[in-house]
Amino acid sequence: MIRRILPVSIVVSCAALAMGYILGELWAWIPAIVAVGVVWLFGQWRAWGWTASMGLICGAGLAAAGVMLDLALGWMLVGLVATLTAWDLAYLALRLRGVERAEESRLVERRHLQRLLMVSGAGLVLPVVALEIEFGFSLGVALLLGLLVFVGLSQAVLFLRRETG
Amino acid sequence: MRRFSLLASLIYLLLLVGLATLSGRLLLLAIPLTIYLGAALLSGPRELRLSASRNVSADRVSAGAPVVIKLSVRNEGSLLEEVLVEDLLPPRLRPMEGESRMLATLPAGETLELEYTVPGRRGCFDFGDVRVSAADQHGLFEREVLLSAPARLVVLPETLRLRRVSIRPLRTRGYAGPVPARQGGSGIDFFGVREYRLGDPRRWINWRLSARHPRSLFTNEFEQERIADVGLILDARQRSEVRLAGESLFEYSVQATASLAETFLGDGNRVGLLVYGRFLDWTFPGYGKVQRERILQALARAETGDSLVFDKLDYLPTGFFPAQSQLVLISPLWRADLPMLVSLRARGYQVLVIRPDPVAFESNRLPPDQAVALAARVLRVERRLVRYKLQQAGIRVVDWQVHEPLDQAVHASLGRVPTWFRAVGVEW
Repeated sequence: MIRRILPVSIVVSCAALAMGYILGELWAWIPAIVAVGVVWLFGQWRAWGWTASMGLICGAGLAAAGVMLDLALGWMLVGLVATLTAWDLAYLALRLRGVERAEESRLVERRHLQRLLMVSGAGLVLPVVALEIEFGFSLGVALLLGLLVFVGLSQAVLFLRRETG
Repeated sequence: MRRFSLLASLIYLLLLVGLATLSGRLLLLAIPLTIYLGAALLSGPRELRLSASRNVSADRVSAGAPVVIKLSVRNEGSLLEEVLVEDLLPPRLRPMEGESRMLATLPAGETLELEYTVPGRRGCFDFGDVRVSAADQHGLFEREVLLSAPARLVVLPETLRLRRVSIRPLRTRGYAGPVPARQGGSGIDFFGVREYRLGDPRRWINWRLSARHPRSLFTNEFEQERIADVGLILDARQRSEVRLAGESLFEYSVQATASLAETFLGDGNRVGLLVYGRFLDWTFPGYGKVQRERILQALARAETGDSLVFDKLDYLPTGFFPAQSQLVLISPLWRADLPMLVSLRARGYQVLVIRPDPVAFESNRLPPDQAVALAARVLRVERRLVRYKLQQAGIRVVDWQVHEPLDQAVHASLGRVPTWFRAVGVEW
C-alpha cells in the first residue's frame, strides 16, 4: 500500500506548492519545485535514502519562502503537510525493505498509516484554527519569546539526545 | 536520531525566522511539524527488555538440504509499537524462503517468531546476534539492541559414490584389507612360489613346478591384502580456485576429497586429511565412521585463501603422514609444485594426484572465441607436460573434467592396473 501512497504524497506536495507559486505568478520557481519532485521520486525508485531528507528540507524551505513571499497560506500548508507525510512514508518504506510481508508487517503498516492520517489531519486543521486567533506583540516580547524558544528547544534536544542514547 | 535532528532543526528555524520577521504565518508552518514531533515523542519506546532464542532444524546437514531457522524474540518490557527484528546472518547465507527481517508490533510479554529457510551450501556457519530496533510510530526515537542467539550449522560437502580406487603404498598396516601388501601369504592374486612347508594346503601346491623337481614340492604364494594409511591433501590455495558463472572449481575439489575419504574409509583404511591453504587444517588419521565425520566437518569449513608461507607446496608437512604411505593430492596443480611431489616420491610415498581441470572448467563457461581457444590450447599443452613429468617421476595422475563423474575419470585412469605395476619390488 505504501508503494502507491508514497509517490502520490510526493506529487501532491509538489503540486500544492507549485499551485501556490502559480497563483502568485512566480513562474520562475516552478522548475525548482518540479526538479525536487522528480529527484525525490527517482530517489525512491532507486532506494536512495538521502532523497527523502532532501525532499523535506526543500519542501519546508519552499513553503517558508512562499509564506514570506505572501503566497496563499493554504497551498503552502498543504504542500508542507504532504511533504511531511511523504518523508514519513519514505522512512517506513525503508524499514519495510527486505521485511517478510507477513500479516504482522501488514498490520503495522496499516496502523502506521492510520496514525499518520491523524497527525497530518491535525497538522492541517490546527494551523487553520490558529489562523483565526490573532494577537500582536512588541519587539521586546518577540525577542523574549525568541530567547525562550531558543533555550527551550535546546534543552528539549539535549534531553531527547540523552533519552535516546 | 538523524531524523529527529532534521525535524527539530526545521522547527527551530521556522520559529526563529517567524519570530525574527514577526511573521505569524511562518510560525503557523511550524505547527504540523511540532504535532508530528509530539506524536512521535508520546509513542517512543521507553526501555528495551528483550530476549531471543533460536532453533535450527538441523545442526548438521548434507549440501543441498534446506535448513529451517526459527527465531523467537520475547518482549519482557512494555509495549513496542514498531519493532524491527533482523537476524544478522553469516556471510554467504541468504534466505531462499521467508525473510530474516520482520517489522511488527510487540505487546508486553508476547513473543515474535521469525521463520525462514536457508539453502544448504557447504560451509560452517555461526549464527550470532539478532538486531532489534524499536522506534516510535514515526521513527524519530529509535532504540537498538543486539541480542545473542548463538547456533552453529554445518553443511557437509556432497559425497559421490566411487568404486574401489586402487592404491599400492609401500607399507601397509597389520589388518586385512583391500590393498595389496607386497608380501606373500593368503590372498587372491598370485605372488610367487616357495618350497613346500608343513601345513600348506594341498591345493596350493604348484604341481607343474614340483614335477620338474622330483625331490621337492613347491607351493604357490598369494599376495596378502591389508589396509593402508592414506593421506588426503586438499589444495586450498587461492590459485586453485576458479569461480565463474556462480560455480567454483574448489567446490568440485572438496567434493572429490569427500568422496575419496568415504571410499578409502569404507575399505577399512586409516585416512587423514590435510587442507593446505591459508593455514594447515590437519585431521589426524583414523578409521571408521567417526573419522568420516571428522573429515567431512574439516571439509565443510575448508576455504581457499592466500598465505606467503604456503604459497608453494614446499612447506607440505610430510611428518603428518606415516612413512611410505599413500598420499592423494587433490589439486589443479602448477608447474612450481612439481619438485615437492618428486621429493615425496623420493622419500618413499606413493603419490596419486587428482587434477580437476581448470582450463576446461573456465573455457566451457566463456563465450566461444578464437583467443580463448588458443589460450586453452596453450594451457592444455602445459598441463600435458606437467602430467608427463609427474608420470616420469612415478606419480599417478587422474585428470578430471569436472563436468564428468569423478568415478569415470578415476577408473579411466586407474581402472586397469598394469602387470608391471603389481610386480613385486617395482616402485611405481
